[in-house]
Amino acid sequence: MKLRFSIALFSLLFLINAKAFGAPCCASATSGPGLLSNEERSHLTTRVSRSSISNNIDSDGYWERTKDPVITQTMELSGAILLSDRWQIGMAVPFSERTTTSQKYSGLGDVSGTIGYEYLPDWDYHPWRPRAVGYFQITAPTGLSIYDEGSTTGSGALGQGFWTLGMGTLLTKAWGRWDVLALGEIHRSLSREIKSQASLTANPGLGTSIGAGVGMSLGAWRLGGNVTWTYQDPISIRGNIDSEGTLQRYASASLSLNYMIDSTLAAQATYTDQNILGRPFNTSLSRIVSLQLRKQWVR
Amino acid sequence: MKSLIVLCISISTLACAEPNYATKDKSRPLAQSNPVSENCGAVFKNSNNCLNWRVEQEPTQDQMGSFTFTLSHNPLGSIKVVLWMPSMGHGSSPVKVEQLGDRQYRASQVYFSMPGKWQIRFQIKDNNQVLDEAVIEVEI
Ligand SMILES: [Cu+2]
Repeated sequence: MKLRFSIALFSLLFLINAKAFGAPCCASATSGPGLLSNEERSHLTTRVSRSSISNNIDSDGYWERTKDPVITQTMELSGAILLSDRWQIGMAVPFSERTTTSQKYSGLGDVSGTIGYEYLPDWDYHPWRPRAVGYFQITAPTGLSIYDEGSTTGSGALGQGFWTLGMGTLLTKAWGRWDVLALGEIHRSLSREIKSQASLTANPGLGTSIGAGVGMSLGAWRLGGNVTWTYQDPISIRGNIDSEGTLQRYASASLSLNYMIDSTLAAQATYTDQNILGRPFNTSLSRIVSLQLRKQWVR
Repeated sequence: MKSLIVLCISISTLACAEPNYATKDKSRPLAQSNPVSENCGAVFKNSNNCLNWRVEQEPTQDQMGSFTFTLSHNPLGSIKVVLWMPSMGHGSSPVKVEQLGDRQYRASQVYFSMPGKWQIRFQIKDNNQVLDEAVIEVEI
Protein backbone atom coordinates (compact mmCIF):
# COMPACT_ATOMS: atom_id res chain seq x y z
CA MET A 1 0.00 0.00 0.00
CA LYS A 2 2.70 2.46 1.01
CA LEU A 3 4.77 1.65 -2.08
CA ARG A 4 1.81 2.01 -4.43
CA PHE A 5 0.93 5.28 -2.79
CA SER A 6 4.39 6.66 -3.33
CA ILE A 7 4.49 5.44 -6.92
CA ALA A 8 1.32 7.39 -7.57
CA LEU A 9 2.78 10.51 -6.03
CA PHE A 10 6.10 10.22 -7.82
CA SER A 11 4.26 9.78 -11.06
CA LEU A 12 2.06 12.80 -10.48
CA LEU A 13 5.09 14.98 -10.47
CA PHE A 14 6.28 13.67 -13.82
CA LEU A 15 3.00 14.56 -15.39
CA ILE A 16 3.62 18.19 -14.71
CA ASN A 17 6.74 18.04 -16.82
CA ALA A 18 4.59 17.41 -19.86
CA LYS A 19 2.98 20.83 -19.61
CA ALA A 20 4.05 24.24 -20.86
CA PHE A 21 6.04 23.87 -24.01
CA GLY A 22 6.00 27.62 -24.27
CA ALA A 23 4.29 30.00 -26.60
CA PRO A 24 4.06 27.93 -29.74
CA CYS A 25 5.27 30.60 -32.12
CA CYS A 26 8.65 30.37 -30.59
CA ALA A 27 8.47 27.25 -28.56
CA SER A 28 10.65 27.24 -25.52
CA ALA A 29 11.50 23.85 -24.26
CA THR A 30 11.17 24.73 -20.60
CA SER A 31 9.07 22.21 -18.76
CA GLY A 32 7.02 22.73 -15.64
CA PRO A 33 8.40 23.43 -12.22
CA GLY A 34 9.67 19.88 -11.57
CA LEU A 35 8.71 19.97 -7.90
CA LEU A 36 9.59 17.29 -5.39
CA SER A 37 7.02 14.73 -4.35
CA ASN A 38 6.37 14.30 -0.64
CA GLU A 39 8.60 11.23 -0.50
CA GLU A 40 11.58 12.92 -2.12
CA ARG A 41 14.52 14.77 -0.65
CA SER A 42 15.91 15.51 -4.11
CA HIS A 43 15.63 14.43 -7.72
CA LEU A 44 17.62 14.64 -10.93
CA THR A 45 15.74 14.25 -14.18
CA THR A 46 16.74 13.91 -17.82
CA ARG A 47 14.09 14.38 -20.44
CA VAL A 48 14.38 14.13 -24.19
CA SER A 49 11.54 15.27 -26.40
CA ARG A 50 10.66 15.67 -30.02
CA SER A 51 8.09 18.26 -30.94
CA SER A 52 6.70 18.89 -34.38
CA ILE A 53 4.36 21.67 -35.42
CA SER A 54 1.27 20.25 -37.09
CA ASN A 55 -1.07 23.24 -37.44
CA ASN A 56 -0.84 27.01 -37.45
CA ILE A 57 -3.82 28.98 -36.19
CA ASP A 58 -4.07 32.57 -37.41
CA SER A 59 -5.42 35.57 -35.54
CA ASP A 60 -8.91 34.92 -36.95
CA GLY A 61 -8.89 31.39 -35.57
CA TYR A 62 -8.45 29.72 -38.97
CA TRP A 63 -6.35 26.56 -39.08
CA GLU A 64 -3.68 25.68 -41.58
CA ARG A 65 -1.83 22.38 -41.78
CA THR A 66 1.94 22.70 -41.70
CA LYS A 67 3.35 21.91 -45.12
CA ASP A 68 6.99 21.91 -44.15
CA PRO A 69 7.99 20.34 -40.88
CA VAL A 70 9.39 22.38 -38.01
CA ILE A 71 10.90 19.96 -35.51
CA THR A 72 12.35 20.76 -32.11
CA GLN A 73 14.40 18.18 -30.25
CA THR A 74 15.17 19.00 -26.67
CA MET A 75 17.21 17.50 -23.91
CA GLU A 76 16.46 18.94 -20.52
CA LEU A 77 18.23 18.40 -17.24
CA SER A 78 16.33 19.34 -14.13
CA GLY A 79 16.66 18.83 -10.44
CA ALA A 80 15.24 19.89 -7.12
CA ILE A 81 16.32 19.62 -3.50
CA LEU A 82 14.68 20.16 -0.12
CA LEU A 83 15.96 23.07 1.95
CA SER A 84 13.85 22.21 4.96
CA ASP A 85 10.78 20.11 5.64
CA ARG A 86 8.61 22.36 3.52
CA TRP A 87 10.90 24.52 1.37
CA GLN A 88 12.48 23.33 -1.88
CA ILE A 89 14.45 24.79 -4.76
CA GLY A 90 14.84 23.51 -8.28
CA MET A 91 16.32 24.31 -11.65
CA ALA A 92 15.83 23.27 -15.27
CA VAL A 93 18.30 23.62 -18.15
CA PRO A 94 17.10 22.73 -21.65
CA PHE A 95 19.19 22.31 -24.81
CA SER A 96 17.31 22.39 -28.07
CA GLU A 97 17.80 21.84 -31.74
CA ARG A 98 15.22 23.26 -34.08
CA THR A 99 15.09 22.13 -37.67
CA THR A 100 13.10 23.60 -40.54
CA THR A 101 13.37 22.72 -44.22
CA SER A 102 15.98 25.41 -44.74
CA GLN A 103 17.59 26.06 -41.37
CA LYS A 104 18.91 24.45 -38.24
CA TYR A 105 19.47 26.13 -34.89
CA SER A 106 20.76 24.58 -31.72
CA GLY A 107 21.79 25.77 -28.30
CA LEU A 108 20.70 26.52 -24.80
CA GLY A 109 16.99 27.14 -24.20
CA ASP A 110 15.48 29.23 -21.42
CA VAL A 111 16.89 28.30 -18.01
CA SER A 112 14.49 28.45 -15.08
CA GLY A 113 14.72 28.32 -11.30
CA THR A 114 12.00 27.50 -8.81
CA ILE A 115 11.45 27.95 -5.11
CA GLY A 116 8.56 26.04 -3.62
CA TYR A 117 6.78 25.84 -0.29
CA GLU A 118 4.51 23.02 0.79
CA TYR A 119 1.62 24.97 2.32
CA LEU A 120 -0.64 21.97 2.70
CA PRO A 121 1.40 18.94 3.77
CA ASP A 122 -0.04 15.49 3.64
CA TRP A 123 1.58 14.06 6.76
CA ASP A 124 -1.55 12.43 8.11
CA TYR A 125 -2.95 10.90 4.88
CA HIS A 126 -6.10 12.91 5.26
CA PRO A 127 -9.11 11.38 3.43
CA TRP A 128 -9.67 14.29 1.04
CA ARG A 129 -7.40 17.26 1.78
CA PRO A 130 -4.76 17.44 -0.97
CA ARG A 131 -1.07 18.02 -0.67
CA ALA A 132 -0.36 21.49 -2.02
CA VAL A 133 2.86 23.17 -3.03
CA GLY A 134 3.05 26.82 -3.99
CA TYR A 135 6.00 28.05 -5.99
CA PHE A 136 7.71 31.03 -7.54
CA GLN A 137 9.55 30.57 -10.80
CA ILE A 138 11.96 32.76 -12.66
CA THR A 139 12.83 32.11 -16.29
CA ALA A 140 15.85 33.72 -17.94
CA PRO A 141 15.88 34.48 -21.67
CA THR A 142 19.01 32.42 -22.29
CA GLY A 143 17.61 30.79 -25.44
CA LEU A 144 17.93 32.50 -28.80
CA SER A 145 14.60 34.23 -29.40
CA ILE A 146 12.89 36.03 -32.26
CA TYR A 147 13.96 39.28 -30.59
CA ASP A 148 17.67 38.55 -30.80
CA GLU A 149 20.08 39.16 -33.59
CA GLY A 150 21.05 35.91 -35.21
CA SER A 151 17.54 34.56 -35.05
CA THR A 152 15.93 36.11 -38.03
CA THR A 153 12.93 33.87 -38.21
CA GLY A 154 10.29 32.82 -35.70
CA SER A 155 10.79 29.20 -36.54
CA GLY A 156 14.43 29.34 -35.49
CA ALA A 157 13.72 30.45 -31.95
CA LEU A 158 14.83 28.34 -29.00
CA GLY A 159 13.48 30.56 -26.24
CA GLN A 160 10.77 33.06 -25.38
CA GLY A 161 13.07 36.05 -25.17
CA PHE A 162 11.71 37.50 -21.92
CA TRP A 163 12.58 37.45 -18.27
CA THR A 164 9.50 35.85 -16.75
CA LEU A 165 8.36 35.77 -13.14
CA GLY A 166 5.70 33.27 -12.29
CA MET A 167 3.84 31.84 -9.34
CA GLY A 168 1.70 28.79 -9.19
CA THR A 169 0.36 25.98 -7.15
CA LEU A 170 0.14 22.25 -7.57
CA LEU A 171 -2.42 20.16 -5.72
CA THR A 172 -2.16 16.40 -5.62
CA LYS A 173 -4.16 13.66 -3.99
CA ALA A 174 -4.02 9.90 -4.17
CA TRP A 175 -6.59 7.32 -3.11
CA GLY A 176 -5.39 3.76 -3.44
CA ARG A 177 -4.53 3.17 -7.06
CA TRP A 178 -6.10 6.43 -8.21
CA ASP A 179 -4.62 9.88 -8.10
CA VAL A 180 -5.61 13.35 -9.28
CA LEU A 181 -3.85 16.65 -9.68
CA ALA A 182 -4.74 20.26 -10.32
CA LEU A 183 -2.41 23.10 -11.17
CA GLY A 184 -2.73 26.81 -11.66
CA GLU A 185 -0.01 29.24 -12.66
CA ILE A 186 0.24 32.91 -13.53
CA HIS A 187 3.30 34.67 -14.88
CA ARG A 188 4.42 38.06 -15.99
CA SER A 189 7.08 38.64 -18.58
CA LEU A 190 9.09 41.84 -18.50
CA SER A 191 9.30 44.34 -21.33
CA ARG A 192 12.45 44.34 -23.41
CA GLU A 193 14.18 46.03 -26.30
CA ILE A 194 14.23 44.24 -29.61
CA LYS A 195 17.81 44.22 -30.84
CA SER A 196 17.24 42.98 -34.36
CA GLN A 197 14.92 45.89 -35.16
CA ALA A 198 16.04 49.34 -34.15
CA SER A 199 14.13 51.22 -31.43
CA LEU A 200 11.43 48.72 -30.56
CA THR A 201 10.15 47.65 -27.18
CA ALA A 202 8.12 44.47 -26.68
CA ASN A 203 5.59 44.45 -23.82
CA PRO A 204 4.41 40.90 -23.20
CA GLY A 205 2.07 41.23 -20.19
CA LEU A 206 0.53 38.33 -18.32
CA GLY A 207 0.08 34.68 -19.07
CA THR A 208 -1.64 31.91 -17.22
CA SER A 209 -2.26 28.20 -17.38
CA ILE A 210 -4.52 25.83 -15.51
CA GLY A 211 -4.62 22.10 -15.69
CA ALA A 212 -5.99 18.92 -14.24
CA GLY A 213 -5.02 15.28 -14.48
CA VAL A 214 -5.91 11.83 -13.34
CA GLY A 215 -3.90 8.63 -13.09
CA MET A 216 -4.16 4.98 -12.24
CA SER A 217 -1.37 2.81 -10.88
CA LEU A 218 -0.95 -0.90 -11.24
CA GLY A 219 2.10 -2.40 -9.60
CA ALA A 220 5.14 -0.51 -10.85
CA TRP A 221 3.14 1.00 -13.71
CA ARG A 222 1.03 4.09 -13.90
CA LEU A 223 -1.10 5.42 -16.70
CA GLY A 224 -2.07 9.08 -16.54
CA GLY A 225 -3.76 11.78 -18.55
CA ASN A 226 -3.88 15.51 -18.12
CA VAL A 227 -5.03 18.66 -19.82
CA THR A 228 -3.52 22.13 -19.53
CA TRP A 229 -5.00 25.33 -20.93
CA THR A 230 -2.59 28.15 -21.64
CA TYR A 231 -3.39 31.80 -22.23
CA GLN A 232 -0.99 34.60 -23.10
CA ASP A 233 -1.73 38.34 -23.18
CA PRO A 234 -1.15 40.16 -26.47
CA ILE A 235 2.46 41.28 -26.96
CA SER A 236 2.32 44.96 -27.82
CA ILE A 237 5.17 46.69 -29.62
CA ARG A 238 6.13 50.34 -29.28
CA GLY A 239 8.69 52.37 -31.14
CA ASN A 240 9.31 52.56 -34.85
CA ILE A 241 6.52 50.05 -35.23
CA ASP A 242 3.38 50.25 -33.14
CA SER A 243 1.29 47.11 -32.94
CA GLU A 244 -1.15 45.95 -30.29
CA GLY A 245 -0.73 42.21 -30.72
CA THR A 246 -3.34 39.52 -30.29
CA LEU A 247 -3.89 37.11 -27.42
CA GLN A 248 -2.65 33.54 -27.76
CA ARG A 249 -4.43 30.49 -26.47
CA TYR A 250 -4.13 26.72 -26.72
CA ALA A 251 -4.68 23.54 -24.75
CA SER A 252 -2.34 20.56 -24.36
CA ALA A 253 -3.64 17.05 -23.76
CA SER A 254 -1.17 14.45 -22.52
CA LEU A 255 -1.13 10.75 -22.00
CA SER A 256 1.76 9.25 -20.07
CA LEU A 257 3.01 5.90 -18.97
CA ASN A 258 5.31 5.57 -15.98
CA TYR A 259 7.38 2.67 -14.84
CA MET A 260 9.28 2.41 -11.56
CA ILE A 261 12.49 0.64 -12.53
CA ASP A 262 13.39 0.35 -8.86
CA SER A 263 12.41 2.29 -5.76
CA THR A 264 14.58 5.32 -6.73
CA LEU A 265 14.52 5.31 -10.51
CA ALA A 266 11.49 5.97 -12.67
CA ALA A 267 10.95 6.15 -16.42
CA GLN A 268 8.17 7.91 -18.24
CA ALA A 269 6.95 8.14 -21.81
CA THR A 270 4.54 10.93 -22.69
CA TYR A 271 2.55 11.89 -25.75
CA THR A 272 1.22 15.44 -25.85
CA ASP A 273 -1.13 16.79 -28.48
CA GLN A 274 -2.16 20.43 -28.72
CA ASN A 275 -4.52 19.80 -31.64
CA ILE A 276 -7.29 18.10 -29.70
CA LEU A 277 -8.80 20.42 -27.12
CA GLY A 278 -9.61 24.05 -26.52
CA ARG A 279 -10.18 26.87 -28.95
CA PRO A 280 -6.65 27.58 -30.13
CA PHE A 281 -6.03 31.09 -31.31
CA ASN A 282 -3.06 32.91 -32.86
CA THR A 283 -0.64 30.07 -32.23
CA SER A 284 1.09 26.98 -33.63
CA LEU A 285 0.03 23.57 -32.40
CA SER A 286 2.47 20.73 -31.86
CA ARG A 287 2.59 17.05 -31.20
CA ILE A 288 5.26 16.10 -28.69
CA VAL A 289 6.75 12.78 -27.69
CA SER A 290 9.02 12.69 -24.67
CA LEU A 291 10.99 10.17 -22.65
CA GLN A 292 12.16 10.84 -19.15
CA LEU A 293 14.31 9.28 -16.50
CA ARG A 294 14.05 10.47 -12.90
CA LYS A 295 16.50 9.55 -10.17
CA GLN A 296 15.13 10.11 -6.70
CA TRP A 297 16.61 10.37 -3.22
CA VAL A 298 14.04 9.70 -0.58
CA ARG A 299 13.57 11.62 2.68
CA MET B 1 -14.25 8.29 -5.78
CA LYS B 2 -17.31 10.39 -6.60
CA SER B 3 -15.17 13.43 -7.36
CA LEU B 4 -13.02 11.27 -9.59
CA ILE B 5 -16.00 10.22 -11.66
CA VAL B 6 -17.07 13.85 -11.93
CA LEU B 7 -13.57 14.80 -13.07
CA CYS B 8 -13.47 12.02 -15.67
CA ILE B 9 -16.83 13.03 -17.09
CA SER B 10 -15.92 16.68 -17.22
CA ILE B 11 -12.64 15.94 -19.02
CA SER B 12 -14.33 13.70 -21.56
CA THR B 13 -16.99 16.30 -22.39
CA LEU B 14 -14.56 19.20 -22.83
CA ALA B 15 -14.99 21.22 -25.98
CA CYS B 16 -12.90 19.71 -28.71
CA ALA B 17 -10.72 21.94 -30.78
CA GLU B 18 -13.04 21.87 -33.84
CA PRO B 19 -10.51 22.69 -36.52
CA ASN B 20 -11.69 25.37 -38.90
CA TYR B 21 -9.41 24.99 -41.91
CA ALA B 22 -9.11 28.02 -44.15
CA THR B 23 -9.94 27.30 -47.77
CA LYS B 24 -8.13 30.33 -49.14
CA ASP B 25 -5.61 29.85 -51.94
CA LYS B 26 -2.33 31.15 -50.57
CA SER B 27 -0.09 30.05 -53.40
CA ARG B 28 0.58 33.66 -54.48
CA PRO B 29 0.31 35.62 -51.23
CA LEU B 30 1.88 38.86 -52.47
CA ALA B 31 -0.06 39.10 -55.73
CA GLN B 32 -3.30 38.29 -53.95
CA SER B 33 -3.11 41.15 -51.46
CA ASN B 34 -5.67 43.93 -51.92
CA PRO B 35 -4.55 47.32 -53.20
CA VAL B 36 -5.94 50.31 -51.28
CA SER B 37 -7.28 51.96 -54.44
CA GLU B 38 -7.33 51.55 -58.18
CA ASN B 39 -4.19 53.59 -58.67
CA CYS B 40 -2.21 52.95 -55.52
CA GLY B 41 -1.06 49.68 -54.00
CA ALA B 42 -0.55 51.57 -50.76
CA VAL B 43 -0.56 55.20 -49.61
CA PHE B 44 1.91 56.78 -47.16
CA LYS B 45 0.14 58.14 -44.08
CA ASN B 46 1.69 61.59 -43.79
CA SER B 47 2.60 62.56 -47.34
CA ASN B 48 -0.06 60.72 -49.40
CA ASN B 49 2.86 59.48 -51.47
CA CYS B 50 1.43 56.70 -53.64
CA LEU B 51 3.20 53.36 -53.85
CA ASN B 52 2.78 50.76 -56.56
CA TRP B 53 4.46 47.42 -56.55
CA ARG B 54 4.99 44.44 -58.82
CA VAL B 55 5.84 40.96 -57.65
CA GLU B 56 8.94 39.43 -59.21
CA GLN B 57 9.19 36.28 -57.18
CA GLU B 58 6.61 34.98 -54.70
CA PRO B 59 8.29 33.92 -51.45
CA THR B 60 7.91 30.29 -50.41
CA GLN B 61 9.08 28.28 -47.44
CA ASP B 62 12.41 27.48 -49.11
CA GLN B 63 12.84 30.42 -51.42
CA MET B 64 13.05 34.13 -50.71
CA GLY B 65 10.86 36.43 -52.77
CA SER B 66 11.32 39.83 -54.36
CA PHE B 67 9.25 42.70 -55.70
CA THR B 68 9.81 46.10 -57.24
CA PHE B 69 8.01 49.27 -56.23
CA THR B 70 7.71 52.86 -57.36
CA LEU B 71 6.70 55.99 -55.47
CA SER B 72 4.74 58.91 -56.89
CA HIS B 73 6.98 61.47 -55.14
CA ASN B 74 10.57 61.49 -54.01
CA PRO B 75 10.79 60.37 -50.37
CA LEU B 76 12.25 62.78 -47.77
CA GLY B 77 14.50 60.11 -46.28
CA SER B 78 15.86 56.64 -46.92
CA ILE B 79 13.36 53.86 -47.55
CA LYS B 80 13.25 50.64 -45.57
CA VAL B 81 11.01 47.60 -45.90
CA VAL B 82 10.05 45.68 -42.76
CA LEU B 83 8.12 42.42 -42.69
CA TRP B 84 6.01 42.41 -39.57
CA MET B 85 3.62 39.96 -37.90
CA PRO B 86 1.39 42.21 -35.80
CA SER B 87 -0.59 39.49 -34.04
CA MET B 88 2.53 38.05 -32.42
CA GLY B 89 4.68 41.17 -32.41
CA HIS B 90 7.70 40.03 -34.35
CA GLY B 91 9.42 40.57 -37.65
CA SER B 92 11.23 38.34 -40.09
CA SER B 93 14.69 38.46 -41.59
CA PRO B 94 15.84 41.85 -42.94
CA VAL B 95 14.69 42.81 -46.43
CA LYS B 96 17.26 44.20 -48.83
CA VAL B 97 16.21 47.40 -50.62
CA GLU B 98 18.09 48.76 -53.63
CA GLN B 99 17.32 51.79 -55.73
CA LEU B 100 16.77 50.96 -59.41
CA GLY B 101 16.12 54.45 -60.74
CA ASP B 102 14.20 57.59 -60.03
CA ARG B 103 11.64 56.65 -57.32
CA GLN B 104 12.08 53.00 -58.33
CA TYR B 105 13.23 50.29 -55.94
CA ARG B 106 13.64 46.57 -55.58
CA ALA B 107 13.00 44.68 -52.33
CA SER B 108 14.66 41.28 -52.19
CA GLN B 109 15.33 38.59 -49.58
CA VAL B 110 11.62 38.69 -48.75
CA TYR B 111 10.94 35.78 -46.40
CA PHE B 112 8.04 35.13 -44.03
CA SER B 113 9.02 32.88 -41.16
CA MET B 114 5.57 31.48 -40.45
CA PRO B 115 2.06 31.40 -41.93
CA GLY B 116 -0.52 33.96 -40.85
CA LYS B 117 -1.27 37.62 -41.36
CA TRP B 118 1.73 39.79 -42.08
CA GLN B 119 2.36 43.41 -42.95
CA ILE B 120 4.86 44.75 -45.44
CA ARG B 121 5.79 48.10 -43.90
CA PHE B 122 7.47 50.68 -46.13
CA GLN B 123 9.17 53.16 -43.84
CA ILE B 124 10.73 56.44 -44.86
CA LYS B 125 13.40 57.12 -42.30
CA ASP B 126 15.73 59.88 -41.28
CA ASN B 127 18.40 58.10 -39.27
CA ASN B 128 16.34 56.16 -36.76
CA GLN B 129 13.22 58.30 -36.97
CA VAL B 130 10.27 57.10 -39.03
CA LEU B 131 8.96 60.08 -41.02
CA ASP B 132 6.31 58.30 -42.99
CA GLU B 133 4.91 54.84 -43.51
CA ALA B 134 2.76 52.79 -45.89
CA VAL B 135 1.47 49.33 -45.03
CA ILE B 136 0.39 46.43 -47.23
CA GLU B 137 -1.42 43.53 -45.56
CA VAL B 138 -0.62 40.05 -46.84
CA GLU B 139 -1.73 36.59 -45.82
CA ILE B 140 0.94 33.92 -45.90
CU1 LIG C 1 4.49 34.65 -35.47
